[in-house]
Amino acid sequence: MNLISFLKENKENILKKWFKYVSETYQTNTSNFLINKKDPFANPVGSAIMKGLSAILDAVCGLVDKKELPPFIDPVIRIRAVQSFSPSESIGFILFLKDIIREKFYKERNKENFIKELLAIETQIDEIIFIAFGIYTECREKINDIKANELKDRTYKAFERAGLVDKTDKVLQ
Amino acid sequence: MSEPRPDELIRKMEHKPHQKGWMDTPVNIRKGMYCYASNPKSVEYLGLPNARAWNPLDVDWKLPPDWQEIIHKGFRERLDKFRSFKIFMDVCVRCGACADKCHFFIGTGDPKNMPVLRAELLRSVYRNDFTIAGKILGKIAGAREMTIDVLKEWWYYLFQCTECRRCSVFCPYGIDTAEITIMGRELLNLLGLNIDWIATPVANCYRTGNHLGIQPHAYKDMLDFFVEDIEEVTGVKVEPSFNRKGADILFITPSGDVFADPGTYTAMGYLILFHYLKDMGLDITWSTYASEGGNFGFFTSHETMKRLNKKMYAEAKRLGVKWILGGECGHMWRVINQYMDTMNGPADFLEAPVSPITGTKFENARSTKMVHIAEFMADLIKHKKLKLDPSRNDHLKVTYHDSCNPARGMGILEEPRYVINNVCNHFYEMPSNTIREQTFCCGSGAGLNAGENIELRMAGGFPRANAVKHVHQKYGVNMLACICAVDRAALPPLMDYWVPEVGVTGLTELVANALIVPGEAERTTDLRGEELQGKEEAEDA
Repeated sequence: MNLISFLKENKENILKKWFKYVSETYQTNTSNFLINKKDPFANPVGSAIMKGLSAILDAVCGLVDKKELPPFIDPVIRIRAVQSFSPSESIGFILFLKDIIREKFYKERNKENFIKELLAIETQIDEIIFIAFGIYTECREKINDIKANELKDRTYKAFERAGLVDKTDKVLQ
Repeated sequence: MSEPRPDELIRKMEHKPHQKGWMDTPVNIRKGMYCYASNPKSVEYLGLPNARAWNPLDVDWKLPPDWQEIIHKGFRERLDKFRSFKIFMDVCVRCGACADKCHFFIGTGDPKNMPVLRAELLRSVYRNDFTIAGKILGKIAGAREMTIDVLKEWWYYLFQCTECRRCSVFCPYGIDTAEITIMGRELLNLLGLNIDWIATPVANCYRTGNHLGIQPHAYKDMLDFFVEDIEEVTGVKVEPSFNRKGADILFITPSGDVFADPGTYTAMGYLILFHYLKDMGLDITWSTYASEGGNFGFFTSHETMKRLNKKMYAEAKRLGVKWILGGECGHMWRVINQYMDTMNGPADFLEAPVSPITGTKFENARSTKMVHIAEFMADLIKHKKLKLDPSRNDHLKVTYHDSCNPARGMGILEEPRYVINNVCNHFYEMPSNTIREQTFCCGSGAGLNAGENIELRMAGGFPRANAVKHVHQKYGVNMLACICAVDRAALPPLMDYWVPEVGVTGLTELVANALIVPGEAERTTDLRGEELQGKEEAEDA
């Protein structure tokens, strides 16, 4: 049985462990909540993480095209981009999968083709990290756009429509 | 150097954060999560203490030398004055029912945003200063001294609460954690530790009557401009009156409806509705002095809230109206419904509100004399007084965000839905644990709708946005209705970040789109200038 088949067969266990690792990037009280609360509207972060991880694992197993991944991993990265994580922590959770796979299949390391298969999988994960990096960057750009334009969109535009601002942007009183 | 062993090569990445108890986790004031400090000019204008320039990131917050005594005395005064505060300090059994109900906890993942822990920030000092167990047992009894680090922690987390009261819905003891935040912010204000997004609007409101500090003539100019816009869309010229003595009703709405998109379309809705009702007996005036329904004094101190609220009633008295009709605002209604009566009321000089169109007596408002526009419109529709064409809103698939204060602060749950169902053909509810009493906050209330704390706002608004995204994906919802001016300001950027295809509207905008006004030209667009469904094709043909 090759490594991909192992992954498919052990998907639930791997996901469970990976989800636990990602949850543990938060403080204990929070990680318990993320793991235990199942309602997707009461626990939208936990739900987003689970959907994202599941989609990534499917992509690594070749069940889903990597191009289909962004809608699934976007919510996880979008929330981490505004939480108290560094940029690397915001997307680094994807690399936990490497740890889990290496650990889980350590005993198989002497089998024929193991390293070749492992490298192929890790390359897939690296490619997914690039997708995640793109999403993270978009999120931060969006945050900066909102910061720059919010007041303008909200108030300046209303004043401008009403002719209450002159060309030097000064409010006429 | 020896080569690494295979087991070393597969060692795990470090992913666990440093875990300590909450009391031993020092506050880390992070950019994007806090609002700028109050402008000393605004603090000074209001006559509030310790006006000076300060920066939350500096070590020195420029506190008065006796700041600990000020806090202790202030705490004592409030425990004596507000029985609810004393009970809320004593009664919590830390059952955890509130813990995971806060949108800021869910969104930021920071345990100190659990309502129980936010309250513990104050309770720990309360135990230390005012209980025997706390004095003797200290940390074992959950007590701790008030230090500068504790003060900074208070400031950071009390301004990460929107006072939305979702947590209180779940508390078996009915502890209103918002009241604890309110008290905590009052205590911070004794040291001049407000944020500018609150302090300056309060000072502006105190001076000119509204948050932006817009003077009466500019307020009127803006409404005159809406009159022109309305004529362009409907062909009807509406004629609002301003500061008119002897009118039956005074209309007060948040200034956000007059000065900020998309609230401006809601303001146009009010103008159209009042014009429609004029011949049916509505005698209403706007005021350029009571030009703000919002009351950021509520987020500063009871006294400041009282000063700003008083201005609305003073204007009602000056104009000699019978009662007040209030627009789509959030915390204005919590102030009116829960505090006004014992703060500035009862408003005996006004009459118990009666709709001049339907004769309905608004018993619920007989003491405050102020009626919510959603109730007013629902009553009109119920009595079939409005001629409506809901198909004019067919380009919209609408969901409704229960704005926290009208929903939890005064129980306005059915009226907006009744109105929407009568003016729109496509209405879809979000999941039940995200609406009505359990509604999730926009994440920007209680004075937190600033630009510098955008990460906090986007994280805190995530539970709300997540539910909107669900109905957007399931039903194609493209419009989020609400009845709060802060919502109308805060939800568009929240949608922009999380569900970019969804717009934000007030309730009265939807009504005005559907309202068939006598003498109007055939409408081809809505109030925003968007083509109406079917009209575009008809024109092309």
